[in-house]
Amino acid sequence: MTVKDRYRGIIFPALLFLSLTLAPCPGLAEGEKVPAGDLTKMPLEELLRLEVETVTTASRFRQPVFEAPSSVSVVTSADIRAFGYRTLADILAGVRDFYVSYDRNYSYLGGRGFSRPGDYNTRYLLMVDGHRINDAVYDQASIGTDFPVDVDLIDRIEVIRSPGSSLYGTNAFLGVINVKTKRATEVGRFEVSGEAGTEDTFKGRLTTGIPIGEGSEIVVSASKYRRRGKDELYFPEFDNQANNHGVVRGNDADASGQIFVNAAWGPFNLQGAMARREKDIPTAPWDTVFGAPGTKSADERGYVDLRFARDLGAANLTTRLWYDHYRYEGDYVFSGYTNRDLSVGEWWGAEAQLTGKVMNRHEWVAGMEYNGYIRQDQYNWDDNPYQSNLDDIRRTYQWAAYLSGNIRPFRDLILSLGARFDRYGTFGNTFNPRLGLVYSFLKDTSLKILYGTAFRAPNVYELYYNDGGKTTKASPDLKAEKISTYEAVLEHSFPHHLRVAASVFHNAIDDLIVLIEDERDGLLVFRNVEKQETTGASAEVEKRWGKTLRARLAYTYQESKDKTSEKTVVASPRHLVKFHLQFPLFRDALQFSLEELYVDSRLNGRDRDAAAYFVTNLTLLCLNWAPRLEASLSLYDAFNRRYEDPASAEHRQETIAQDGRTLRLKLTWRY
Amino acid sequence: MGAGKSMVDFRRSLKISLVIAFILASVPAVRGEDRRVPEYRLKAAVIYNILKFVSLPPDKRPGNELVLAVLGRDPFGEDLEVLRGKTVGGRTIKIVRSGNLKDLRDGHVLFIAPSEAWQITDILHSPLVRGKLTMGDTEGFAEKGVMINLVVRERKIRFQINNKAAKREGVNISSQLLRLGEIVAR
Repeated sequence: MTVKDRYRGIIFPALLFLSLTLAPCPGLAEGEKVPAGDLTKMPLEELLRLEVETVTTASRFRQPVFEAPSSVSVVTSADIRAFGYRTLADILAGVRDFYVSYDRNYSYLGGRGFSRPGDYNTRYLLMVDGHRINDAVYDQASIGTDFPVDVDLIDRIEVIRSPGSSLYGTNAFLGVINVKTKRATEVGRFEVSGEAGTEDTFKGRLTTGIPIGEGSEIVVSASKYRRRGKDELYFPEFDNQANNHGVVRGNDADASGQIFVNAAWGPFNLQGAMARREKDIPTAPWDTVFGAPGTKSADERGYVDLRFARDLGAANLTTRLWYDHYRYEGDYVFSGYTNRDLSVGEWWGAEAQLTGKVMNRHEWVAGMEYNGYIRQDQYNWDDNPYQSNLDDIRRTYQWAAYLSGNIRPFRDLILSLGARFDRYGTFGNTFNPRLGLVYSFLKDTSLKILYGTAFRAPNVYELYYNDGGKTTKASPDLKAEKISTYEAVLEHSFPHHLRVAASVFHNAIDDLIVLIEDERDGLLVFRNVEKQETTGASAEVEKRWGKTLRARLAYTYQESKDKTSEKTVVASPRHLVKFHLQFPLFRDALQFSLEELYVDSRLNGRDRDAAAYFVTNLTLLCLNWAPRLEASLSLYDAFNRRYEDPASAEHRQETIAQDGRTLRLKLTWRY
Repeated sequence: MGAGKSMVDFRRSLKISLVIAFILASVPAVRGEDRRVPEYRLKAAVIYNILKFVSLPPDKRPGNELVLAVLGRDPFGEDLEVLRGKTVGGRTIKIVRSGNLKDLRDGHVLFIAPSEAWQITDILHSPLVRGKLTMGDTEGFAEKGVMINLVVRERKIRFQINNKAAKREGVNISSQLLRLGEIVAR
């Protein structure tokens, strides 16, 4: 029985069980439909029965953005629709200080001067409704079509630009991205969505959201995506007779499927997700055969998360129990044989968290977390003839305890203190404090002075990957990476919906884990060798006129140095500019959105750097031109700039060409 | 295409889930409540509903607007914008915001943000709040004289009513609303 079969064994009976238990409940029914999304249409008595969201990402308790002890950006479902964002990568590329690159296999997130082509986003913690998405083998935060939840199900995304290890532990190194999914009334009773785009791109989604009774509801959604990709890709590095003059035909397909369920029942909430994504790799990495079909990657990610929340009077208790699955398969076609990677992660965990208030003004949160990693297995073998190169089976554990609070000594001052202790079965202990001061010195102005520390635990890939001494050896003595961050944030709201935010930041990273060549035996090995420092500043201005006309301009300057070599860090652009405009064309019914992204040139440590680029994305969003129907037309890279992203070391390419102009039409019908 | 072939199993799983989705969609329409709504999205909706049950002192100014003024640091953000343009008792809601009470003299409803808690007594004594419906969402505001104060109890929104303060300014709160709220002062 394969892992996938086992999954089907768990998820589908669970779904069926839920559907059967929930189906015979119409005793509660009175036949009136809850308006999707618009709460103002509900009578007061019903509004008083709804529950408010009480926890947010920055502090693990609810607070307004201007009080959060970090620089926070929020992207809403309205932004996602207006700008035609297709993936989490599209969304994050539009957030101040961030940039995204793509190597035609995975998408990589960079921010605040740090990005490493091919680093699997391990220095960002990615969560869905508080559930950790980073896997247990590579720590990968999947933000492309491999992200397990359909972007249409996202209600809002909180992006925290500072480390969060003092609350969330590993991976919350440069930032925390928490994706919050829609509730039943926001989805609508029944929703069908279809997309079609250039390069033979199709996506379909079916979602149902059913409120059942007081505090109970269910959302079920399934999506399927496929893209044939570029018919022809040209890589000048391969431009010779043997390699078809650098041209690859086909080999760029991307396909994924996703299932998502969220069921709330009184104080319980059960969420499950399962996704699989397969991508053909056209770039011939690791010296695989250029142009040969069959080099591809497949990622499978699933989880079940059961949450229980209770008001104890003096405090709110939240307990969680989860089970996670991850599987990666990689096929690499070499001349005469295929090399195959297989990694499997299976883990479970539990958390208990208490939040409360002292004297009605000092908020606090305390919690404990345990993760039991049942499988963290890595296999690598050659087919035909069969030869095993790696057969590494691991299991380990990790637990943590944290305490954090907001103390308000004076009227306009918040002192935010927090620390977390983590114990790892692999490398030992780590303790990460943070300190923040939020001072509102004028009525609409707040100044935040923040200091934080964070860590990233070495993952099993870095610790144990080896190929029997051919090219790579294991490195079981790795320590955690460390970062210290210093930041000052100024936020001010002017009258007439004008908002300004500015930050100055300095990050110092130590013991960065890097793949190097050991001089003694010539083998590649991961070591804690690099130090990196980034200093920068960024600012954002946002202005709103009425309900739908909005403009936002953001600029980031950053300078990163590798402190071991005193060189500028690769793949780190010095300037970033982002401009967003939403413009109503015909009342609320037709909306035009423009996104302009500028990314400065990026070094890649080789001969040819990735050139600076300006990319323009346009979306026309049409609401209600037919009953219950929403349509949008998006043009990405409207001027066909075909910019290139820096390639990681396993590529012979120095830079990798992006898609160029693409078009997408999307229709959503909501019942 | 390589990526397509081994998707067969997954596609089968999708099919099963689609069938289940259909079963669920065919469950008779059920009235119920949503869970976990963003706090200020809910508060905005509650305010809109409350306004339907309140009659304000007659307004001598021309126009048919109901001006909702937010004093201090606006905690609603986008969530209040859904009320813009909606009508209550034939009047169209207009939203204005300011950190300064003087800018809000045209407001019919004054929502005092939590950021103003430190000077709530001064605000309530100002002649600029005369004849306005005062609202807030900070613990203790109702006792201080804010007419309607939203509070969160066990994750749900409740509202406190200071009817004494309301009567003093000629604001009439309907008995229906008085039944649903928690009366702080008659």
